[in-house]
Amino acid sequence: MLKNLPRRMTSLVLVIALAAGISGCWDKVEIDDRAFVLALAIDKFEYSEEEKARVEEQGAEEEQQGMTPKEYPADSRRNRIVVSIVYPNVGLLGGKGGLIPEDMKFPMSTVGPDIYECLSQLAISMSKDIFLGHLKAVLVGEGLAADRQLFMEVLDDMDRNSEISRNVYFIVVEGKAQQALFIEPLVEPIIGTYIEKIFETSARSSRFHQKKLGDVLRSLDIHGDALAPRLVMRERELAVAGSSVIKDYRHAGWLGEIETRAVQWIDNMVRGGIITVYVDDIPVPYEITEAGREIKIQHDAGGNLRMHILLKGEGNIVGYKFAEKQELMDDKFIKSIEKAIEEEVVAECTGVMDKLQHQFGVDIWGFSEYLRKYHPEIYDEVGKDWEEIFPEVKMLFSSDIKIRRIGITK
Amino acid sequence: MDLLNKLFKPKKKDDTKEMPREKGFADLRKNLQFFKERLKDCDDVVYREFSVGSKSQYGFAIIYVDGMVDKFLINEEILKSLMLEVTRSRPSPGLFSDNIYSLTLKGAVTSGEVKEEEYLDKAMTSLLSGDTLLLVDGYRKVIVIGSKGWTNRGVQEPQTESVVRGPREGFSETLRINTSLLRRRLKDPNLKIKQLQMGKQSKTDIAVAYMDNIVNRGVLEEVNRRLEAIDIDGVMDSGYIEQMIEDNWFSPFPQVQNTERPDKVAAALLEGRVAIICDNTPFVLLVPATLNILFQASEDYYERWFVASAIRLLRYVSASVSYLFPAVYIAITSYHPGLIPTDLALYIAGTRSTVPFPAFIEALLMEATLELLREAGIRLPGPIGQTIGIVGGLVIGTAAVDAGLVSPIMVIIVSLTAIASFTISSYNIAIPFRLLRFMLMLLALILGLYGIMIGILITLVHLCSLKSFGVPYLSPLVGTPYYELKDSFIKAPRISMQKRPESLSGGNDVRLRDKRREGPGKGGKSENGKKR
Amino acid sequence: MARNDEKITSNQLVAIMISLIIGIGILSLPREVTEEAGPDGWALIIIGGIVSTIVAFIITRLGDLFPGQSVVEYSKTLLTTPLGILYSLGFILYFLFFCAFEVRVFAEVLKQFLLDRTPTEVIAATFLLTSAYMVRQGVASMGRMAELLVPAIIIPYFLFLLPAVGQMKYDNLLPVLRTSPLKLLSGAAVVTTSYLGFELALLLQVYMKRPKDAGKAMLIAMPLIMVFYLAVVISTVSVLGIHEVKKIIWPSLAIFRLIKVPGAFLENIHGFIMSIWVVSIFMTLSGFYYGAVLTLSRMLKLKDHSLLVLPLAPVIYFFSLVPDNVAKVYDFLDMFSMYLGIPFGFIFPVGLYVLAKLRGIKPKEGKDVEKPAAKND
Repeated sequence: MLKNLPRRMTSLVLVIALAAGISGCWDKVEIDDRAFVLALAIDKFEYSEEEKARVEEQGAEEEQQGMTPKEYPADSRRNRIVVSIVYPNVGLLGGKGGLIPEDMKFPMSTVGPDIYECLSQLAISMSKDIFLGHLKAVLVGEGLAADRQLFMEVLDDMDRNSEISRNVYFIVVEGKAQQALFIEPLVEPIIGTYIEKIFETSARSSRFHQKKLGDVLRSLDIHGDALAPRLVMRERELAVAGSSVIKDYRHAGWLGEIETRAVQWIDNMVRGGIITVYVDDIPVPYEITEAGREIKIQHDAGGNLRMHILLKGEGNIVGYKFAEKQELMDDKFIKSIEKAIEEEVVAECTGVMDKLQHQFGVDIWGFSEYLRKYHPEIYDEVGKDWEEIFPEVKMLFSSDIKIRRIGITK
Repeated sequence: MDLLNKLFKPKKKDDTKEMPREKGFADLRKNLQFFKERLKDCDDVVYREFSVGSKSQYGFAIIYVDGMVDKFLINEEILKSLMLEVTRSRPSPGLFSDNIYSLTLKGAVTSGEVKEEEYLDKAMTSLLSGDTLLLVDGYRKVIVIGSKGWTNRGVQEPQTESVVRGPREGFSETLRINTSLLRRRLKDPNLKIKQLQMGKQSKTDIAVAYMDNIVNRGVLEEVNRRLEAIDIDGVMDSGYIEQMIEDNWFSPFPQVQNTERPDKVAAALLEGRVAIICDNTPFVLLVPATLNILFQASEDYYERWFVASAIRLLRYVSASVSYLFPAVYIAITSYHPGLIPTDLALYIAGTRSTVPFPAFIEALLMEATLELLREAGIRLPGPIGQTIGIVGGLVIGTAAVDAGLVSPIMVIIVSLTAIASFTISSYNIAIPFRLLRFMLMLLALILGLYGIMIGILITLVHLCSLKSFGVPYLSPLVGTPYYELKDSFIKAPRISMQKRPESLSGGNDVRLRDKRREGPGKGGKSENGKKR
Repeated sequence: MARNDEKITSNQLVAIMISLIIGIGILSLPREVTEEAGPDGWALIIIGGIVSTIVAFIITRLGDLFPGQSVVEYSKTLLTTPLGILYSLGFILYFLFFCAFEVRVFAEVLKQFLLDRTPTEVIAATFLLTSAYMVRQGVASMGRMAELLVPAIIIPYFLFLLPAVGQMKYDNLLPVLRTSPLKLLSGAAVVTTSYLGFELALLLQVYMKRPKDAGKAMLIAMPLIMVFYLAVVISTVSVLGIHEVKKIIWPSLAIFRLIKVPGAFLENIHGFIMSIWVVSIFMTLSGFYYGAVLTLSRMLKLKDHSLLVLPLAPVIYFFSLVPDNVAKVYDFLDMFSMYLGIPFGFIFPVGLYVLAKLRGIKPKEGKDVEKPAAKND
């Protein structure tokens, strides 16, 4: 017995371990017991004034009668945000005819103090385990984004969580996010996939800000400001267009689609899109195939900073007017169109820069980082006070557009 | 009394008594008596007494076992020679008056293999091996005439190892046929074949074959040592030997290779390995055996290197698949659905929504069913066996899916796993992966992906510490010079396989010379030939 | 079970070193060096690598002075027996603590990313037991395991980084070298934990087939490790940027959650990376575990070390469960690096070597177990 002691001890230990193990399986959740939440919507919980009064009245009545209030009381510390989720009916998807055949997806929402509590409140009425590992999009309502405190909480929740991938799309919704989440879209039944596909397939239009949660968080980390894509709701469609300007961790305003494209051009993020200019009253759409920018920074006479940004682009003309006398296959004419486009681009960029510098006062591009990397001496001077200095920096734009092709007819 | 006996009896009784070493008697009667007594109730033993000489003055007798002897030889070479020819020939008078025994031994019997034997027990063994005993009245010694001849399956295509290209000869159940198959492929005096007998009551003939100038001496000594240490009553198949000379019989991984193909054995001998041939079985043992060797097939060497490399890689991948696949499925569906693409996750969830069992049970059920089908297919004869496989698989699989008991994904996984395990060339190396698969499934059940990693680590640790006759089991992947990798995952072109694996051979390295580089004028064969 | 008799080749020593040293340090390494030196963190890696290579080489030279003896024996000669014993005991404690850290950090990361609800104890226990199995098999098995696994760790890691090349913005590494040299040198202390492991050579050299080759082996292993760390840090920082790297606790893993391999079956590859990393930590743990067992067994002059393996497991287990939370773990780790890591890893070996040289001990002609063959290795 003693001779084999090491071996027997090993076996004993293993057996005990195995026994303990089988009783556990602590993390095991069968895949069909999971609710794959593909899109998450967060709104601020608030009533309008009349609603507030009504609810309070009703609540007081109900309490007198000894019943629990049916509506959420307005002033409770617990009721701060509305979390809504949508998860697909996998039974239907798998083609096996699930247990509940009618609905493609299940919308749910609840009110609570923070995301995690809300999720656990939702869980008590769900037969499935909430799984966020395949989350595609997070929709944040305008109201919540404008509330700095709440917004920062929500941002941290996204950041700290290891389950939520940094690749999810983080969108600010014009209006209530819950509404956007619960619409019945025409084209794609599952909201999360719908939004994901919009982002993926329209990447080249440049009409929205091409960034994901990770980028937004990073931007916020570095300088407290960021640009996030905007979601616009229509009756049975969603559109991702334009962006939300986030300044000092709260939503400060919107930028339109063209403005967003200009911002991206300055940020060297444009990959495609259409600009329409008017030449002799004829609209000529120009399709961008490549775009870029170059930056030069100098001190001017008065010791202020000047930034000269050159906006470059290459592309094709895709439309003109039928049977027009002036042909496109004419170098001089093409050059004149180029000039028109250049002017347009400069105008757009100047406009948006003005808006961001003076109306918002936000360096959305993170030029401070650019200075830190490429001009460390300048950064050492101005880095700390960049927020005040930025609006004073003189921005000059110039543009260099090239038209390469004009289609198959002259 | 009995109790005391039981308490004080030191060890188990050994029933097989050693036959007393009796020498032969001069009297023919007494000799015959000896045999008839010992072989009482052995009705297949034939005794033929006859007289030799013009005046039939010399008493002779032959004893043989009917069914094991070549009767033609007995009749022609022994009986006819002695009874008829002798009287016709006119030996020189000097010879004639000499010892009739030596005359018989050296002159009269026209058969090829003739020995004399002093001890009766040894003569008995020869008799029972198919030799004929010739007893001469008045002489103590027995003449043993080789006359083995019995019906045999003959040389057929090996059933367990068929190839698309390559020889189709397989070993048979007779030792001598097997050794001849080997000799034909290695016509070199360095091919040594040493015979010994194993098994107290079976007295099975065993032959140890090796190439004297290439073999790893250490391995050879170890083989001999372990063979001599075997003390068993009977050896029915080389499997008995294999189990008794293995390094580690706890391990699911075989450390001895077995094969029915003589070309494989010949090639192995040229690498410096040792073969153990066992009578009554076509399966020849080859040692040392590493994991890499067990994954090799003869065809890899006859086909071109590109094809061979691809197929060999496929084998390794198949082994991994048959080992990992079900466990990974369990881990992903039960623990980490985030690791697969969303669409796939949703689809799997959908198909599993009607399945009443958790993934582990589902997998276990299907795997167990498959193993049952497989075993059943092996045991049933011929066409029935194959039909069962197909029918069973299709019917049970489809029915199970339709009944909603398993998900279609599970069926696919299980089938793929099964097919993967079939592609592995030798049966005995496929088994450990099949078995360990269940261990992995269990670990995946408890700890998900982490559990699988633990399982893999345990397996690897085991493989790293395993040795076969002194050679680490995972050579050539570990601990060897890099050129040995030319014959592992891939099979490099023949022209580049110039050296023998150092881990196997005794240092006699060169097996191939690249003549193209050496220029003209250096004709002649390369040192040890290009044969493989 | 006399398993101790087989020796390792110098290739195996290289492999053991690589798999041993690349352990838990690598997860937080980008964060730590960026915290110290911003975008110049990579310079810290280089400094640490050079210093470690030098010390590692010195250790092998020390071993050459006492062929056939490990540090357990020659520390008694150099330091007088009681001090030598004290040193060896300290060494054992050092190894055991290191093991505990490996186990604990491993469990924490595993729980965070893969298995949330599984108890830490279970993860620690299973990991330790598997490692114990490895350690019982002896040094040659470990050498083979390392030889097998090192390519399996390094190659996939880089393969999986390839899809991220598109996301790497090299300007995240700018501006270059604006940090003062002084800060660089002081910051290099932070990388010590990541380079520790070469001190195992103090014990392993005597188990080699050709102990003279140990020096060459270290000169190959350490720079390779340095290059690997550089690649990790550079790729992590260029993907995440210095601000985010400073914020995420385990950035080396986090980048793999960012990488999407489009159209591939396994879209999210962080599962793969976790698996590879499990293997890497396993080798690290086993190496240090083996160090503790070996030191103790040589002190007690045992023939077979495997008896000691299981009894030490509970010790490591309890040590690993001491810190209350993640923050405390890293606090303890910092203390460990400072008070045990640097002394036992860097200072004592160099000190022993200096002592030996002062005493005028000359390198003796040791017996090589295997004659160096005419052909190369």
